[in-house]
Amino acid sequence: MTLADLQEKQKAIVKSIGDLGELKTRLMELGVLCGEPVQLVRRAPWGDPIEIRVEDTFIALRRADAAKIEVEPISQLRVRKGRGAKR
Amino acid sequence: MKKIRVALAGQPNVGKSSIINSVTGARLHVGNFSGVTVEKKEVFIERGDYEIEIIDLPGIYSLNAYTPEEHVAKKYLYEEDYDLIVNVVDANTLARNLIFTMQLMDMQKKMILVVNMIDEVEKQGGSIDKGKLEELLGIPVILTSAKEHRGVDEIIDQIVATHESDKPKNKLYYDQRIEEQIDKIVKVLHKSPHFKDPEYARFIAIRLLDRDEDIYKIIHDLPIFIELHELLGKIYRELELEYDEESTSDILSDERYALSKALVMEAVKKPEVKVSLTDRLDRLLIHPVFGLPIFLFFMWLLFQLTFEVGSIPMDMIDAAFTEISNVVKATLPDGAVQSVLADGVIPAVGSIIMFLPNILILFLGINLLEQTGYMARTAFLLDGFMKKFGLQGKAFIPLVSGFGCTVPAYMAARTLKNPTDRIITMLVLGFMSCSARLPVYVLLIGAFFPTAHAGNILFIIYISGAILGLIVAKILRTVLFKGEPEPFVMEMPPYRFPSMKALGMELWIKTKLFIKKAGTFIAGASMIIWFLSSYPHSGTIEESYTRKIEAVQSEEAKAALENEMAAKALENSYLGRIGKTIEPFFSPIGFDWRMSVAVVAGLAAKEVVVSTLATLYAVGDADERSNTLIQRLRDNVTFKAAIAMIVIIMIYSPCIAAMSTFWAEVPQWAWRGFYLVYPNVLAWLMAFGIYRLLDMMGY
Repeated sequence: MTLADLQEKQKAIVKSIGDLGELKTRLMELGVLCGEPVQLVRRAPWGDPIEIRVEDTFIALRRADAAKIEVEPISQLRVRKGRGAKR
Repeated sequence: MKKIRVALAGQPNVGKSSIINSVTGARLHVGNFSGVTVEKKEVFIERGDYEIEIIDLPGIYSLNAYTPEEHVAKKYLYEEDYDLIVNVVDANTLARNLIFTMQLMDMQKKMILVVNMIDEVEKQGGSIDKGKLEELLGIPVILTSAKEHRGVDEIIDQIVATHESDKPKNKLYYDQRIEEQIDKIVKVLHKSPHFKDPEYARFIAIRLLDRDEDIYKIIHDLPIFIELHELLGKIYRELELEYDEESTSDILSDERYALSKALVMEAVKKPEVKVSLTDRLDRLLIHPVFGLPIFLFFMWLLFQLTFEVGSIPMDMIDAAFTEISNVVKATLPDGAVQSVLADGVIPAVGSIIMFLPNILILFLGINLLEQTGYMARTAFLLDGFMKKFGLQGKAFIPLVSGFGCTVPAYMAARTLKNPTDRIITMLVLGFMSCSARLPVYVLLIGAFFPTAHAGNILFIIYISGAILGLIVAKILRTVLFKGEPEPFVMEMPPYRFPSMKALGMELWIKTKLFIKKAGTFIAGASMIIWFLSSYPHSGTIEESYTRKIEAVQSEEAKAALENEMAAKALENSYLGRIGKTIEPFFSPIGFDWRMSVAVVAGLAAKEVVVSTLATLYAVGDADERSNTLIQRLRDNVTFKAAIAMIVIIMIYSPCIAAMSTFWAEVPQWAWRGFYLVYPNVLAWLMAFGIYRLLDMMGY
């Protein structure tokens, strides 16, 4: 799964950052590093670009670039657990 | 007096310029988005025996500079001679900011860490342990809030203290495996006389591991290069294999991030997480469906207010200047001096000052966009739209600045990394009507449209300029520049309440500059226009008309003849002759020679268009006191020609100041040449098309 495939508000862990050239360095400087939690905050009109959150930094980037970042979703599990507990 | 030179460095939008303003009372431009400061600015302050020079550098995320304005900062940090670094960081995003801090610490200079916006963290219940940070980093730390003027005066004291003390020992060490490789590189570097200093050699070694091309260029020409090159190749392979990373620079990034997270863990009490105001606002303001209509509504509102509210004091200012003019006429004896003041300078300056309220409202609007953080949202909202035209969302920021003034907008294009994106953006920036063109529009709209629609027409003019810009960008992208635009990546700052002080300051500066420009440049230009339009006096015209006027009886006929005489004299003047020469060029779009002259004079500055019209239509009108410029325009200019004029003003070359900025920013002669020609050709063609269209429609 990639960062571009996340649902709004869904959280994930960054697994690997693909070939993004210099953009990769820039994203790492902003805190997008392997093993870090990341959240998809919202999508712009027409679904592109997207806004993501790492730590307390909010970053806008395009879907095509986000699609090169592999992630492992985590918050889905939490949502299910939460619902289960309520029931 | 002893001097201390301080480099103020930090990531974008941490408040570097605000801190300088707060410490020194300087008036640097500030805003809430990345890339407000795009060139270095010096500010001086005296303290005790010292004259302290603070250099405000553009924000830079790391020494791996990405965009042109970041390279300005990097170049300064590497090449210039300064005594210490003041590193400003944002308390809200400390972990990320500290990564750059560590890179700066690698430089082995004296350094102070300023943790700004501490008020925002504390308001949410967080805190930062200053002592702990100092202990862990080994450099002095100051907690500040530029907004609340908290801790900022301490910065100057600390600069003096740090300058006078010895440099503390470096405390920053990387993983053992990395340190071993650094040592190996340092050993080779020591063989060159340039790198005898162990601290400097260590810095170079770390930068080489960070794959810094600027440093690579330095060692490239040295005799040790071959040995070093071989060693580096080996080290890169070894480390990348060991850490399973693509590049040693990624390894260092991970390393620094881990270190900074550990630091933050020790020294920072995080605020409790809650839904922030920013998130709630953004749910509405950048809503996938409502976001764009809301943005358009804001822009529409801005132009409505610009016209409506701005026109309230207009009549008063107009009346005041007419009064001044009359007083001058009454007190000074008839002659050239009286005429140059009463007919030339005063009406011209007055015709410009009249529009100050409009311009201030427009500026206030743009400033609010910049200071609240909404500017970054517009880039986010419009990136998808801009992409269709071969530009990216970030290019929208200089375009909006262009509505204020084209000069800083050209500079703001530095935030675009890709040179092609930058050139395209700069080439279409002129179509974003700057505030100096506002007076021309307001004047022509006032003369030719009903007041009820005026604000809407103004909005349409500005939007058409923007749309034309996008279309031209698309054409340039397809015809001249192959390839994809650069990737779009941008930080979204939290919304911040604008500082009333900063807003007031910006408006005050704008007012001062505007009045100064009107009083010097515009007054000077109008004096030239007056001279050229009043001389040479032709005795024959005057004589023949004086005889005719004496011959007729009725007052009406006399007035008509007087007007005719004034018009004839004007046509015979130097300017009249120039105008007649260029008139054929403009007559296909319905301009008379006076409009032609005004438009050409507008190349100096767009305000001159209005002042020139004011002078030319006043000199040619004997009955000066009763008629307003608007009335004279209605009498002399057709509706379709007025529209053609609006189109010309919207598209043709901006003022000299803007053109020279473009010149300075773009070194390629081909683009400079293209830039000088194409807007004017396009302007004429568009004006011609619209003029003919209106003509066919029977206007």
